[in-house]
Amino acid sequence: MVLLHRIHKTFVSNGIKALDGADFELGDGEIHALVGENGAGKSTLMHVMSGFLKCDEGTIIVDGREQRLASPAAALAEGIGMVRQHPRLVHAFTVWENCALGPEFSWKTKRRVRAEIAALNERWSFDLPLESPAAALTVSQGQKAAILALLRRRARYLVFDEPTAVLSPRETDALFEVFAKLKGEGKSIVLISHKLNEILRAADRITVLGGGKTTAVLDAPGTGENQLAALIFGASRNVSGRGRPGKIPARYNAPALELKDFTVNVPGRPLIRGVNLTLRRGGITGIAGVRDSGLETLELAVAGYLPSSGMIRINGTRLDNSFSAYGNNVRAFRNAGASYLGTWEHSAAESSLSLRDVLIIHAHRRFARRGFLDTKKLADWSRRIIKGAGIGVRSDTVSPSSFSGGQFQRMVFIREIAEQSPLFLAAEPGRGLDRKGRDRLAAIFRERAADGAGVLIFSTDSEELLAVCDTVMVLRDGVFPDVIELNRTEGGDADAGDAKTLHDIHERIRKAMVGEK
Amino acid sequence: MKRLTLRGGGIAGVVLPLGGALLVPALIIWAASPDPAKSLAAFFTGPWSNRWFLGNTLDGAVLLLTASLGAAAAFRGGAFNLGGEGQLYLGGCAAAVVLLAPLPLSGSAALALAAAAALAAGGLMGGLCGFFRAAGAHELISSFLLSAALIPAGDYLIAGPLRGGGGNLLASAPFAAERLLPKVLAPSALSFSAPAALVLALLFHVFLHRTAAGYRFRIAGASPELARFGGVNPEKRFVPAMAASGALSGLAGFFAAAGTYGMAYAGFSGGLGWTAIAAALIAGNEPLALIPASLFLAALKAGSDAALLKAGFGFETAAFIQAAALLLAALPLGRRFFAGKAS
Repeated sequence: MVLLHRIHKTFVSNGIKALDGADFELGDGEIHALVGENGAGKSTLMHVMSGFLKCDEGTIIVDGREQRLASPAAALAEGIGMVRQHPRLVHAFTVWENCALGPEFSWKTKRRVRAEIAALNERWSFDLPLESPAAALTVSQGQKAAILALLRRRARYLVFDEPTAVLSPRETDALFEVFAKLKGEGKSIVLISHKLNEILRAADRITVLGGGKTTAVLDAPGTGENQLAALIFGASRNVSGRGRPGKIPARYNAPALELKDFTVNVPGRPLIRGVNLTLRRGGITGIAGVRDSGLETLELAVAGYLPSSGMIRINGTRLDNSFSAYGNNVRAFRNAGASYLGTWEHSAAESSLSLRDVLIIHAHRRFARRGFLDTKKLADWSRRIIKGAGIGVRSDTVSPSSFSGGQFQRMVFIREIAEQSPLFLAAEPGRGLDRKGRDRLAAIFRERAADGAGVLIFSTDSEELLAVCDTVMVLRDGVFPDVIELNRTEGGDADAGDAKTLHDIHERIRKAMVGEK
Repeated sequence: MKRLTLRGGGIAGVVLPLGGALLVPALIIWAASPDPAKSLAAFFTGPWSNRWFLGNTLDGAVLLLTASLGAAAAFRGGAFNLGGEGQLYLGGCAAAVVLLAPLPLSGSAALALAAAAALAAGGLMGGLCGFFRAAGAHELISSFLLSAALIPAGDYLIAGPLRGGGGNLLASAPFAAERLLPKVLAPSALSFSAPAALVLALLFHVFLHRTAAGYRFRIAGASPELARFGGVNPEKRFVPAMAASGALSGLAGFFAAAGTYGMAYAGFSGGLGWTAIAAALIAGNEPLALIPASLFLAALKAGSDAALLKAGFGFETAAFIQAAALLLAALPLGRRFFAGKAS
């Protein structure tokens, strides 16, 4: 699986921002179409993925490990290769020599490599004239030669940059047959194309890019051409800044959060004794407990504030949670694609910082060029957050202490949501909110989950958890003595099998929290 | 500039309290002076009356600006540097060592080397305290103690190895003419340090408000919790903040030795490192606001000195005027601070 997370790329030569925090996920054995208007950043993103371009910012994870992919060779070493519309071939070389080009090809290996290529040519029924000069190949054959070269180098992720634009319908059909065969062998394919009908025919999943951002990810079966067109062309309007903050595109096959034998042993804090937890994408899990029984300890350890042992994996990225990494853990937590709404936000309000300073704490890393802040974009960003929180202020350079606690809390909440992280951690999110505020909060959590994020809520208030969670885990004395799966009906009401009424569930949680039988 | 006025302790935080702070010295002079009219005239116009006084007042402001940039660097990074006085003094001594050394260097090269020595001396003293902080000793105390401990070392250098021949003055030999910072407003002391300090203030401003690193520095200093939240480790700011603070204080010492005095004499720092902290507090640690704050404090000192010379009231009265004005200038800031805590 290849994950591209928040990829930014600005071309220095012309100052064009081609990618503005784009996300992309290529699963194993899938045909994934990448679509978008001209200039949406499709090609740039794929050039980043296959090592031809270095991104300014962003994370690339291949098979669970973060990679830099500094060159096409480095990408190929990870199994990622690109087939261009017009593959670059050395015309004076024979076809098989073109397929063989690479660092390990020498006179010693010549015979073996030639045999390998011939075998592959046969196996995939490419019918390439291996001994002819490459200049004699048609475009379609050239593409096949490029595929062959990648297959010989054991590429598992093949990127096709608008291959069909230069192919006849018959050649396109043949290419799609090859795609199906490749998929059958567990290889993954990225198909960049403008032809919506053939995308819907060939692809399993579709990612829509707009203005350098990922605007939608959807399954191809069941998607209509009109719907897709609306997504592609509506997306460009969306990125002009009108879109509601924090629209999370679905991505990541890996669970949002996995804890295995997760232990926190910090002097002066309750012990967490090897707990296990898996939070799937789209799931909302609540952890109930009293703060002293380890609720806060677990929360802080997951968010990287406390060292821990055992395993913690966020969106498929394993974090170094050891004591030696302490101090950098919060950054790693965020980089892995997680947001965190803590309980001590008020501390920022009493400082000499301006509201904007507080609201751009995460965004400032994105809106910086060569170390200099893009103050205009940051101002837009903070205005968007303030607007999203439904607060009418004229200036964001005022002190945060000039807002009510509830207002400030709302802005901070929107700030975290706006990060579009696939894992959202919240501690006592409903604290200090009125009924209406809590309903709104629950709606936002459900929206995030529906958009593909995993939501983990720590709360001492079981009512708050029951209102929104699909799983409630009770934490007591550092372990989970009770896990309650709630079957949510359409209306949002919950029942938990044996405990039929909400009151019963409350009782069950309360008893587990205090350790009553 | 509108943005500045909105931020706590910005331009408005300087101008408004200072207006009131000028009134009290006037009243004190009125009451204490044998010839109030003459003293008042001297107090207000003395610092600007001619090329010589104007240049010297401005030069005093430049030294204060540089040193207060140092104080502000620590404050902005969430640290307290109480060692500015010693860092300034030792920085000046380090510069003197270089400028008096018989090195085959051109004048400008010697000056550059001396500036580097001053930056390094102050920076090391500050940075060390930042390091101590990471190890558990509060830099408020360690910087003060280290500074107090090293000031006699500076005294020894000046009274010993560096001492110039002749006279009772405990001072180094005067630096060679080509190893002095070029004068800007001869014959006054105002030198090339003036544009340099202004550029530094501007750079500091740009760093704090226009760069990502400066933003994180500010966040870490103002709200360590928020910084940690954003994945910035605030503990890592102590060494750079204290080193930068010490280095700027040291540079002020270089400006004083190579620009203002043309030598290093015993106790030449004269409390500048302490006044710098006051200036930083008045200006709310905003680099650009430090410019008027330094000007104000320098004019206050020059004015009371002028009144002292002209009208001959007691030396203590002059010191009292400065103290009263300083207190008043700091008061509104303090009130805002406490008001912020209470709400």
